[in-house]
Amino acid sequence: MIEPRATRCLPAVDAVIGKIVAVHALLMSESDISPRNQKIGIALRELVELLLKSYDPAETAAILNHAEVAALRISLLARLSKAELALERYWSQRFITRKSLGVSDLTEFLYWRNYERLLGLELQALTAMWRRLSLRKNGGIAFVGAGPLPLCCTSGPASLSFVSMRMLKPVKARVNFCRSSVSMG
Amino acid sequence: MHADGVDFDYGRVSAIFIASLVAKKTDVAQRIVETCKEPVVAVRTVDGVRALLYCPAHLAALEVAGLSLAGQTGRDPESINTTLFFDGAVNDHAHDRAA
Repeated sequence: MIEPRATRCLPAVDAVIGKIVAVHALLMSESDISPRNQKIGIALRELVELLLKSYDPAETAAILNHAEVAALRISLLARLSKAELALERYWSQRFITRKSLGVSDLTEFLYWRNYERLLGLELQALTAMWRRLSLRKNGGIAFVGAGPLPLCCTSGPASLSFVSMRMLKPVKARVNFCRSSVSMG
Repeated sequence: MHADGVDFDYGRVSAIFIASLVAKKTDVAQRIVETCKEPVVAVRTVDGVRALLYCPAHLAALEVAGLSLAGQTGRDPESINTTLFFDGAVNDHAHDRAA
């Protein structure tokens, strides 16, 4: 007999819910939520890996609508935001102390691959819709919400130039953290 | 330079990227439309269970703010975010301000 799909999905759903609850509890109990705290580093990496997996609509709904997950979501997002700030500060401090810094150094950043993939997908999408967009010549690019490690400000404009989107005039970024700050050169 | 994205004058830029962590995306979008003529705006967001990592952008609210969806990145197993691309209608008010 074939089990209903919802029943077969339960282990995946339960695994995500269990991880969400555990990571939230850890984030709330630890005072240092930077990568210096190994428990935090491991837990967040595992959470990201789990959430990067593919879930069908029924599984997604079961996870997001789970009473415990729904109840802690806002608090989780707030703590994750602080953890991301701590993560970027940690890595920017690692980089800033080096005598020289190239793009190859930046690839050491734990989530570099995610940034690189996203930039690639953005360039692909922009290229596809290029003719539809009315981009003014010689305008700058503003990055709203850049953190202490502004990877997209540093690698993005170079990539944009690389695909000959030369109507944009990339601007060098100098960044401070603010949840809705603007970075320009 | 460094400024609050809700107050910034976007008149001198042609493209704006809004990060996932930005909480007031709609307020920023509204300010962009007010101050920038024909902006191209990229809003990073999340879908599905990734809404447990970041707060998703509210498409309808961004459109009410004056942006028009032009395209988006596809879902990717190695990327946490997706990106919505918007262009703004020609904004004569912003044009007048710039002039």
